Amino acid sequence: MRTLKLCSILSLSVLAVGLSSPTLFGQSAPPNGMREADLRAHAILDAKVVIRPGTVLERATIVIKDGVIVAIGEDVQPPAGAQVWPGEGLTVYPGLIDAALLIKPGERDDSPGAHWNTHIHPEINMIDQPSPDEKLRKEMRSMGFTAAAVYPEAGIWRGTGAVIALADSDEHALSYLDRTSMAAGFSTTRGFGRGNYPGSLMGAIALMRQTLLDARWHSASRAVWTQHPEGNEPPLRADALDAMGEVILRQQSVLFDVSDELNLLRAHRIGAEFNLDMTMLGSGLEFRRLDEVVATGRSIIVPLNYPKTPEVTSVSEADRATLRDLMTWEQAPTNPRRLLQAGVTMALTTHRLEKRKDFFKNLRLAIKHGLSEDDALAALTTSPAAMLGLENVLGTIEVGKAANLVVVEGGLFDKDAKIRDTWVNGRRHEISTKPLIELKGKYAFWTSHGHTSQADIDTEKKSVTFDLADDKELKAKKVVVKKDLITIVVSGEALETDGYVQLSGVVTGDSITGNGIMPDGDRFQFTFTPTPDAIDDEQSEDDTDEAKDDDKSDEVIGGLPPEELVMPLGAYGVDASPTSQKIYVRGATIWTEGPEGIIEDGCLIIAGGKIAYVGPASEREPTPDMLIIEAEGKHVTPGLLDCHSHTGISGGVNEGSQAVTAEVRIADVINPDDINFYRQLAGGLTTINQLHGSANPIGGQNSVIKLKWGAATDQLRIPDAIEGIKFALGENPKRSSGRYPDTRMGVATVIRDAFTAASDYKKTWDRYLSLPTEQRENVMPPRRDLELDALVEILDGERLVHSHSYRQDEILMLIRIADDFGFTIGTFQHVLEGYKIAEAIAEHGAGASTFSDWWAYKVEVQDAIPFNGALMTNVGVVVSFNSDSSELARRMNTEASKAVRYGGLDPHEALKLVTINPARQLRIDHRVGSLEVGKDADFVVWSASPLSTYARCEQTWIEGARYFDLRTDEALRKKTMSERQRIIQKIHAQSHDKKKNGKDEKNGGNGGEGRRGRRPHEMAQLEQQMMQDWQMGRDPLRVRPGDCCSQEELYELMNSTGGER
Amino acid sequence: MRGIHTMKACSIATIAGATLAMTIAQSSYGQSRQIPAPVQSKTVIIHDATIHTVSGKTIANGYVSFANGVITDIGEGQPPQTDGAILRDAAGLHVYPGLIAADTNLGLTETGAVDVTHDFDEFGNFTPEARAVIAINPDSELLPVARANGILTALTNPSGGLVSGRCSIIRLDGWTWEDLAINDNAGLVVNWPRTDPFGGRRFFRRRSNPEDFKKQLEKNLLEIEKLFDESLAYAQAKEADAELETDLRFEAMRPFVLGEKSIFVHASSTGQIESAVAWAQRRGLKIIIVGGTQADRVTSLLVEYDIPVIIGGLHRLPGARHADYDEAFKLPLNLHEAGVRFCLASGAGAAHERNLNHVAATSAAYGLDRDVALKSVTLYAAEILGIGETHGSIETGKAATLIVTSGDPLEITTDVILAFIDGREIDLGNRHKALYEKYREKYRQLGLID
Repeated sequence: MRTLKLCSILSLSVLAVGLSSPTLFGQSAPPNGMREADLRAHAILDAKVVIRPGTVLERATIVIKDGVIVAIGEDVQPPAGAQVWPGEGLTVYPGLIDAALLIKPGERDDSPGAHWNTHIHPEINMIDQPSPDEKLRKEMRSMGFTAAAVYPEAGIWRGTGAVIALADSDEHALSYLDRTSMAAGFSTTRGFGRGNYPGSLMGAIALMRQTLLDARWHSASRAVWTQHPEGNEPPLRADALDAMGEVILRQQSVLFDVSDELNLLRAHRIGAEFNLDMTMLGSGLEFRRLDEVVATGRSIIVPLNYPKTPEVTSVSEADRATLRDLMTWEQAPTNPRRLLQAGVTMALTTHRLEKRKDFFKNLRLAIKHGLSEDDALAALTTSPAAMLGLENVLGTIEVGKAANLVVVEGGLFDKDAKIRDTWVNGRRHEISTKPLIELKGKYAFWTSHGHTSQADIDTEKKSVTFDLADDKELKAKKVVVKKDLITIVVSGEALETDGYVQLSGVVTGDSITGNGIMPDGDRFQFTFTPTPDAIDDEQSEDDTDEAKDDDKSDEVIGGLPPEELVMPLGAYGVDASPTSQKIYVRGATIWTEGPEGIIEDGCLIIAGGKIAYVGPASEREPTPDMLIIEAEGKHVTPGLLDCHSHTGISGGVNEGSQAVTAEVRIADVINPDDINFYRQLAGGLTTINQLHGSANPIGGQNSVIKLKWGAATDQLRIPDAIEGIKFALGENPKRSSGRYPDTRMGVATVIRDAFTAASDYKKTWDRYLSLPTEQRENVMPPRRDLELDALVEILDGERLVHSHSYRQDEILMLIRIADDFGFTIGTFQHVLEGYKIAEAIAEHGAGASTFSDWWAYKVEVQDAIPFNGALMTNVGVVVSFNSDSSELARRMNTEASKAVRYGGLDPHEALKLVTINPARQLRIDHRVGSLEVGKDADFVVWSASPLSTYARCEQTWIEGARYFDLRTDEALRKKTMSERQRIIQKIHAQSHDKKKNGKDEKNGGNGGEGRRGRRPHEMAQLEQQMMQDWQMGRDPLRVRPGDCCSQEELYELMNSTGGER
Repeated sequence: MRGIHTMKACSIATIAGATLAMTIAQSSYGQSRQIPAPVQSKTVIIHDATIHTVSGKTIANGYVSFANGVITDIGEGQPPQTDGAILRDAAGLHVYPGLIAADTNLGLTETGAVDVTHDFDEFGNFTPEARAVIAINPDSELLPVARANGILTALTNPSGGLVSGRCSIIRLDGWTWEDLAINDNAGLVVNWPRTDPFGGRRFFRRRSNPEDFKKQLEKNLLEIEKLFDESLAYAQAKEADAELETDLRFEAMRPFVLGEKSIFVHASSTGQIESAVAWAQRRGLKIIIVGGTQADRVTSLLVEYDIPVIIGGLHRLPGARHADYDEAFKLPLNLHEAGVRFCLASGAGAAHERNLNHVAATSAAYGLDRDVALKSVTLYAAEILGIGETHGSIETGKAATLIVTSGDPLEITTDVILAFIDGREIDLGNRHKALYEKYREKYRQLGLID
């Protein structure tokens, strides 16, 4: 992070040592009455001092004056007039720093320069906002924190943070740094409705991107106007964009608040795209994609919010605990250590903890999982200080630095550690005091009645236990210790009577003397005096007990988690992404889906991830370095394609809050951890077209990926696939209430208007770019608009339209608009009435990607017929069958069979509907879709004809690498089962142990779910309906034909709001 | 290798189908108006076919004769007696019993998104008086679509609430709902409340307050008990005093509460199934489990009390991230191996019952014996629905409700060429085929196809 005003602060503080006297500070009001002395000279004597992580002075004195450390050392003498604090037996640490304390800023100012979108308010400066309230500051101090960087908690561009002292009064909560990073995050307003932009994660990313572009543009416009006010109108006031000025120039860093490891990677990509200086406020889940997280090179501020212990008590609960949840729970405490080991610059934060006070408990767990105490201390002192650019002011105990200290009895990370004082800028805040009296051990009990017996006393635990006859014991009902006074209420049994006896006394030396009242009102006197032999014995016995306890608590019950992690974490994760092999497939019936047709007794040779040969087996022999797949009696086909999928998309498939959202990109939100990728591989699927939903006439940009389970997100995308975009016609885009359009007429007009705007935009840019450079400097630049950019790409033939459509009228409508604007539609999706207008589709050159046999689910599909695919094919349209369902995508082969059944396509032609035809539609047929020499080696081995309902997919290969086969699946099942059981057993062991001694520190307990966006009314209604269905025993998500992606929307809703992490 | 596995076989089957369609079943494509067939007046003999009796052995080259709606003879070779009979040459073709859709809303719904076309969900949580058959639209476009794929018999259900009403078994051809009815009062539909406070999915787990859920569950269970208690008391009181005021709800409940007729309990999770079985045993009720997603975890219970399961489809995603990808597909195999009586339903909704064969084939692809898979949509379904005496197999004396196909009916690529319901030859046309023909004509006019 950049230091902005650091120099001036430093010099001030050095000056302050000699000169300043706070009561004379210019802004203070005159005193009402006498002036109060502000004692600013202190000395802590004879304490153990941890100067910095790893450097310890066993016995030293620290001298503080006016908030700054002025001397430290073993031979240092306290100066005259300094207030002296004995430090014998105490350890002093540098004051802790929380580099990310997120708080709610005050009400947003609706100034004319504010951004139109409520998630964009970078103009907020935390230095101008009220400090975090004293309750929070006090809580932080009680944990040893002395300084914190405060940031606004919500929004996309949230505002600039400040580093403040966590003092006990607003006056003293001064700033170390008025301006630190710009806070950012992926905030959304979930839902479809108008005015909720962004309603999806991809919308938030798009808005973030557009704002950065706008800031650049605004800054350029201002520069032009400053130079050339003549002939130019001044730029509109834009406080939000102005506030982004230093960010885009890399003069201010960004602190990016991310809710999981995938969002961290997404934030990083934005940072890379705009060359931003960025630090991550992490999620605690970084270990799940450690290599990719490390490769970002970003510093990370790491929370300790471990997930709640999964509920596994009943059989059905245990059945539901997924391996991913179990592993996440088990591994979460290893996260800080893994990050450090991998070389990440890391600080720790209390952020995201449901209960902030669990911080040290969780930190101890991280230490048990391998984090060293020095590293832990560094992550709370030197590391955050350096991240904030305050390494000269904060983070260590050195002369000249702020007198921010934590005084601890015991080691800071010990379970029994007691923080006594927290010093903030040389002001001492008492956190806890050593009790005035400490009695512990066996005592002789004497009363003036002549009664004598013995009792165990422990004033710290407030327990007194009387010995009775026959080795019985009696615990006092109540023990109150106030300074040196002690009161005991005990059952009369202790004095061989009924009722209760009260005893009150004073501690003198190591004895108690006092008076009591018997149940009958009789008064008496008593003493407790130590029994010398017993004390020693007991003490030493206790010590060994405690030592044992400590030893025990250093171990993790059930053992440390395994070091090696699979990818993705959880069931069916793999140790390493599979690699390409040299392969010889022998004896199969090969469905080439190319000009070769079907080859009986064929052979397929793969090398370098590509197909090297396909043809009769008799013509090629394998070489010794080839892996031979014996496939006699088997069928081999190209990997199947699904031209309409919503699998593997995070944070919403619809940005339905506006009629046109061409700027949003599915590619920004790919979720490579979606288990349905694996399930679809098990059905022979290798490539999918991830589409935006159908909530608006012009939706978002699609993404074409291969199902490379276990690979990094960047490796899924097909590099030279031409990009596309989703459009939607008919009922879906017009059903959003309160938003234009409400009719098919309106849908058409919205689209025509958008393209008209795009044409004008293109002209504006063309005019601007055609100006000679020197002239260009004199005129205001046009604004880059990501929405219009995408539309211009369509006009230029560089982006394919995939349009959701049903009725023939709307299909023809879009063809005519495309004709008018001179581009060709990529595909019509669903296109259930395509058969009525196939000649127009064919003539236009669009593809048709349809359901094989869905119908009757709404009015616009009343005329849907299963012959649609075959009939359009026969008229010359390039047709594919798609799934629009994560379930159906697992059996696209039998979808193709329906084109044989309905309309009589030849089987080899029929299989093209899920292989080469969707590849052609997506313009990736040069790579995939058929088994031809030179193409990607994506292929599937089937037990029987792929068109047979009895066929099973046995192996699925992508680019010559094995991503699924039945044998590996069997092994993964076993591994999944044994890992789940191992962790479940561990949970049982820990909860058993907890019950036994009631003081364990088992993993987790306070999972922070993170903030969720507000949900608008209609979403709430949908949820309510789902809940009702669920309660009545129906599964509202049973997969059945329905509206385009409504199913997926629900899944998505469940997954994202349900926190499938 | 079973059925049609190679490309060659497929095309042969298709050609055979297409040829036959032209010669013997011309009316089934094209301009059909789906006119219900008249009562069988003459004996029909389908000969030179492979007869798949399902209940017994398969006859490679044989015939089946039927008269007055009932199968009269099955045999090898040529039929002995052909006088006055209509002879249907089915050389190269196959005869199977008609498929049975065991859990549908057929006739009670038309368009998913249009509520006014829904007649399956009556107001209120307890509506035993509602009877499916009387609301069935015989002219629903959905019936001929199912029929064209060999589904000739169906159980059609009310749904919604806790006690939805009574289901009916119908034949898929007739002028009126009375013509359609095979059994108008086939069973009582009960939706067992979800027993798990957390729900299977995280979404619901997060949202449901376990305490509220428990209260609601207890309330629902109590209300079911109350309904059955009162219905029983009513039945006994009415027995003693015929003058007692009549309550149509309790009248409807009478045969079920007395254990005379089957109750179709829709239950998926182990908890629901266990709770429903315990309830039925306590009350001496006859139940059938419908849905049964997790039935393979409680097979001993189901076997012990001989409770059959109508599996509510297989084409669904596994219930948990860590579950086997084929978890659902293996359910029939698991039930079969454990000795649980079961049959298969499509689970796909009324418009898509036509894919029932695919569901059965999936169970076979994932380990179930193929003949058992076929039985699970024919004979087993008939037996569980209580029409095993008359339906589900090709046997003398049973209804002549059968199909003639180009091959294995569990293959998607197989054509259904002829269909008979009670001996009546059924029109296999439907809206889809009509629209297909209409637009083929368009492209013929444009010279784009032959």
